[in-house]
Amino acid sequence: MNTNKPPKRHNDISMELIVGTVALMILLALSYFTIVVGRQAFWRKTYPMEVYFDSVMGLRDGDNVVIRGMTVGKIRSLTLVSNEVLVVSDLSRMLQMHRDYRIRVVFTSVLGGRQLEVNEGSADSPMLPPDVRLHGNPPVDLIDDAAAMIKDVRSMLNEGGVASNISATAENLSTISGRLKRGEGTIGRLLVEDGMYVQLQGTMAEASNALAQIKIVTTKLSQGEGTLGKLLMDDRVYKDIEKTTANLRDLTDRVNAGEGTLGKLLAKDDSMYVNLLATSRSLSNITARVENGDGLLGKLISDETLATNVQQTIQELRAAIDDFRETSPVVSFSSFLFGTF
Amino acid sequence: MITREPVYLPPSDTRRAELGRDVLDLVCNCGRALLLLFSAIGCMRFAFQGRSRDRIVEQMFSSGIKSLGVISVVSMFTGMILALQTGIELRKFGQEVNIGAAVMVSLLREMGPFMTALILAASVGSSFAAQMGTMTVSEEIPALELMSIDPVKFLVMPRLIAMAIMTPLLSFYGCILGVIGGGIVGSTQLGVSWVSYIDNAMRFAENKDLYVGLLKAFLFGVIITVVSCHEGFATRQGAVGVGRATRRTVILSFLLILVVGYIVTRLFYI
Repeated sequence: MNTNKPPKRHNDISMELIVGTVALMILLALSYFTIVVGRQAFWRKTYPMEVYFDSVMGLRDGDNVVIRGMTVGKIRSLTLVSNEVLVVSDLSRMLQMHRDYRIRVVFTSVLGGRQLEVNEGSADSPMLPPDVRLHGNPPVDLIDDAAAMIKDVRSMLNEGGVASNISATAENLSTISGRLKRGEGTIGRLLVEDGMYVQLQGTMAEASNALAQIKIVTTKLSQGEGTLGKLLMDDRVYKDIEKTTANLRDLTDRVNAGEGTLGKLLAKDDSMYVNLLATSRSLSNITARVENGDGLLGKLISDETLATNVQQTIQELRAAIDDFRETSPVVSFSSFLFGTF
Repeated sequence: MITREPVYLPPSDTRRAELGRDVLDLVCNCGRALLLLFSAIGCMRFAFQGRSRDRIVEQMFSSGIKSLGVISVVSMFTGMILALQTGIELRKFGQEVNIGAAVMVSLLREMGPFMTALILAASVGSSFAAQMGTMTVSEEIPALELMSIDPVKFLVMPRLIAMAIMTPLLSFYGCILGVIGGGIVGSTQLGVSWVSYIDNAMRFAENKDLYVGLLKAFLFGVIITVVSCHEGFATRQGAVGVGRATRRTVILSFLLILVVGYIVTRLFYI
């Protein structure tokens, strides 16, 4: 037992406790932070994926691997292999690559940063065997693309006639502004002459009045005043019109179906029309003969003597009938009497 | 002897001679400080013997735990200021969500270790220098040597170990509080939710940033201890000398922290 060492005081113990607690807490936080920042996955299984590229365009260890915008892993290593670059990445899930797969290095933003973008291919494309060697597409160089685009724009401006068109347009605009300035044309006069302005003001006032009238009419219409207003606002008118239309439609349907006289007249089968034509022709013929005084009816109309005779005959016949009526009871009684005996 | 006896030299004849004497003095001081550091490292084998462990814990408590309050306040406000300044500028481009990355990376790489070191240099370093200086001018250091107690082992080594451990821990603690402060500003004044702030911060932070920052903090802790102990042992001329040693400690520590910070950044990031 070391007798030289004095016993620890309470203060020493509490000091040790505080220092140890703070240091341990900070160390624990440091460890957790290291794991989180390092995106380590000690407890998760990872699936390696090897891809060969002609160029990786600055892709680095630790860059993300994304599928359809979702991060599924990280780049583990990049190695130069003969004239290619072998990129090994650790993925959180096994990928099933199809024959039309696409793997490329893309920019994470316009400010820089890169990531590996994987497209597994379409589902209807045949699957690739698991041990197949995957090849990545050449990366897109934004600067090269921008240079090509600038070149295209420049050639379009110079060779495509855009520049000359712009120049011509500017010239036309200059001409138009000159004419306006000189007061030529309607707009120029409007700018320069006061009379035109006064006329325009009057026109505008008239237009304003017309608009006010239109407003009054529309107000009346909306209130259901007048025939048109009732037509617009009253449901009964609409229903009547609808009913009439339905009746008309029924009528036309029946006519179309050949029903009724009008339908038969308008029907494709023209037998009635032929009959009517023949009848009218016969009537015409009869009336012609009557006018010519042919036949009894014609003579009755044209010959007055015959008409008088006929009239006289009829009168005499009527008188004879009256006489017969008067004598008929006597005759009947005599017949009965003599018949009995 | 670790303390310096007064050396009386005749006045310099020319300015060039005076300048040469100053340069020589500077080189000697550097050499003495490095020798003090090596002696303290050599004494570390006794760290767990006798009462050394208790002295280390005591120094960790007085230099580390007692500085937690001021470091908390300074770090949190540093994070808040960083978030506000960068957020205001990024908002012009609709990119205020990226304040998480800006605050986290700047705190881990530079601001966390730097702010912690400045606070410790001003508070702990100056107290070390004053304590050593007072002991030197009151002849306590020679007395320790007379009693065969190594002043380096007794005074410097526990402080060196305590500062080498506590400065990185306090730096990391300050970074965490700074990130929290940035998050508070982001969520309350810039409309950035906590989830997107933390997600953005974690996405851009790397372990390299964290550990280079911790290395810087470790070096800053060593610098503060060595400079303050060296200046304390080199104190002369009574109370005036103690004040001068304290002032020199703070100035030298600040300068060396800046220079070493730059060198470490240059080594690891370019």
